[in-house]
Amino acid sequence: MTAQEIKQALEKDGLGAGLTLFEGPKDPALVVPREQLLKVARHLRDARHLAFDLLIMVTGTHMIEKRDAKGVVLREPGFELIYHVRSVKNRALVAFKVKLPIGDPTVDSVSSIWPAADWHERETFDLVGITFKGHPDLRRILLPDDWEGHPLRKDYAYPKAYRDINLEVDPPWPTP
Amino acid sequence: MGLFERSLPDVHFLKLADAAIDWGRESSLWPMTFGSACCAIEMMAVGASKFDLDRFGAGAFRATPRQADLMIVAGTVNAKMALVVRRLYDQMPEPKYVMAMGACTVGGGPYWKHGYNVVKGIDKFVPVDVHVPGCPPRPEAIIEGIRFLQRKIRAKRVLTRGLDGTPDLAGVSVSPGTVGILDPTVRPAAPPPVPLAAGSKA
Amino acid sequence: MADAMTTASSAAPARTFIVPGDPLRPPDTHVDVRTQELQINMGPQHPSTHGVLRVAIWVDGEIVTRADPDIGYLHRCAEKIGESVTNIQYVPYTDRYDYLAAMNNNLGYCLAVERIAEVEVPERAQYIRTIAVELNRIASHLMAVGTYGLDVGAFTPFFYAFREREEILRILEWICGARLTYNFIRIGGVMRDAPEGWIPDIQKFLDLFESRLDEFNDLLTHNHIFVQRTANVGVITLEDALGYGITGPMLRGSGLRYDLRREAPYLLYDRFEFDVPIGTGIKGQVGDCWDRYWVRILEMRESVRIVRQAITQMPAGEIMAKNVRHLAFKSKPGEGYLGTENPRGELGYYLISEGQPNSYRSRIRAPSFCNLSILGKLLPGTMLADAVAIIGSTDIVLGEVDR
Repeated sequence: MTAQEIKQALEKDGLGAGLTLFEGPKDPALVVPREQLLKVARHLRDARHLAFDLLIMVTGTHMIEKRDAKGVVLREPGFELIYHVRSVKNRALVAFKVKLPIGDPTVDSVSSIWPAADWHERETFDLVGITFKGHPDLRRILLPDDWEGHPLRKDYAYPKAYRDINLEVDPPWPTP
Repeated sequence: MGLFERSLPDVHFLKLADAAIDWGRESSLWPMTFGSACCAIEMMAVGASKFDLDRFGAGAFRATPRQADLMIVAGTVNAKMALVVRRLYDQMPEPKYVMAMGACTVGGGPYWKHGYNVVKGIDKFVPVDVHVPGCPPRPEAIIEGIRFLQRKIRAKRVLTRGLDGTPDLAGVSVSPGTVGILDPTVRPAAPPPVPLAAGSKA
Repeated sequence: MADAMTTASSAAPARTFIVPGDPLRPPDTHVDVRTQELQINMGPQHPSTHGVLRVAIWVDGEIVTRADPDIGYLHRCAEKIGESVTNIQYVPYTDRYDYLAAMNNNLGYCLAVERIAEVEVPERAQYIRTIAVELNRIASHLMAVGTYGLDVGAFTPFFYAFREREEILRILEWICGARLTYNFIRIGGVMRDAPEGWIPDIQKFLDLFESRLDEFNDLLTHNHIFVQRTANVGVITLEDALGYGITGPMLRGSGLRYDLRREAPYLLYDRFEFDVPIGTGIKGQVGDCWDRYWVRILEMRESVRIVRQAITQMPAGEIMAKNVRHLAFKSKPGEGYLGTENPRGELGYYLISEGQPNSYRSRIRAPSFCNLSILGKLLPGTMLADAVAIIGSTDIVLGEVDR
């Protein structure tokens, strides 16, 4: 099943509001508006002809502004979440994206639909800083609980120390 | 400083006792099973049958720090883990030795530049006796590290160190230019203990 | 006491105990014992947690009431490094995430980059990749079953498994120079062609391996004590497994014949004949620890079949693509996801590339990360010793969980 076919199936089932297709070089993906996420996700899992039951991963990316040579804005700053889900019965993989504005990186949690999303969303919160509403236990998972900052943001500055531990990058050995 | 320094003349018996104590310590180094990453697999391989660390006396891997003499830190140590490593080091009874195994523990390894939470070398918070480079070091390199540590222990001479002024290097090979490496009076200074913050769950 | 506990739980499968607070639990009538829930810590330094995993366990007596895995003790900034170094420079880092199956990690990343950059890999390189990857799968499963024996207390099978593993590492060292972190599968092909005598050496090893595997089965697999400790323990139902995103031998142990080498073939797997073993509940229930372990043993035999077929089919030819300029490699703009079958499950790389030497985003989908997330649901209700057996059967590698 290609992304185009899934989009048509969703539109036929009445959930096509605001759905667009990201043609993008290489892998097409559905773009779902933030408000529709839970409804679309639940339908993707429960509908008999779709049956996307194995959540593969949830990825968050910090998108910085991109301008071309003339200064025309090619991409607004923001966050992008992409969900990959497999269907065991139909041997298919669907990728759907949610775009978030830079000032408000919050989105609904799909952990009630796919329990696998629990840890993936905790990791996205930890490293990128996207908050998931309705998540049962949103706290840092990979970094220590009192770490400051979200490392996978493009403007992250590496810390010099954590509590008393020195984390500085050693300067290269001086050549004689 | 030696136990009997300046209180007794040079006694042959004490030298024999020293040799016996050092031989006992070096031949039964019991490592603590503490591997975090890829180097841990090579540590298991060196304990397995092909490379057999047990023939050097260091085969009894103890899981608890209270019964171990040697902590082989095998694998990358990051900020979250460093507190745990320091606590384990403090729990080991004297005499204790630390081997930094693998490039990550020696100086950060491949993560030296972009690892924001990797500690670039464990000698930033524990005193290290021997560094074994490699990524991961071959089992033969680990065995060489153990033997280097055994030579270092042999030169320690707990009872009679300092009695005649010079360290006894008989039987220990020193290549020219390595002044100070096998000098038992030089021990790396222990860094100040890391206070474990309230609420740490380690 | 045993009777009350086992007959009361007729609806639940065998070997789960009634946790305190359950109305079916009989009152402690003969002795006034008050128990207190205690939080204990398993790890991060522990002989049986396969790395630096910490599981905070709350126990009441011997029964686990709550478990919370705490990871991050080996977080090595994989995704940040993926954005900071070039694609070519990133290949050695991929070795170190799942360090027991380093060839598979190399392969997953190189396939993902090659797909986006549209690089055509020559056929001989594909066959050498297949041989290396399947040999590494055997080595990884040997490590898994050997250390699983160690977890439940059997010290000897560990040495037997390592004897075979050392043979494979010697073969892989012959072709690429490293025993553990190979950096052998590069973007566009492989690093070095098979030297003279490599293939006959592999064939000699494969001929010996089947009988050694039977010996190992006699030692551990059908051992009565091992079966008692692992059968009917840690049963994962299929719907739980799918819900928690579990893939690999853990999913196949629960009865679903799902293998990415069959479902979405990559790298010539559609040319080989091999079976996909599943757990059928021979010794206990479908989806218990013994089933997952048995799937790994059977998969080793299937890998031997694949390597034999690859050796007979391998053509002569180039080993590196022509249009890859290693010193100035730039991918094409695009983004894509590619999943491969790691010994632990589905290893996937999602790359966003903007036509630069570096990726804009490189995200690793680690199978052990998802496989571990079920522990919070699986451990409560079991005994503490069973918890160790369950964690061992998930076959996690912490380098991959924490990346």
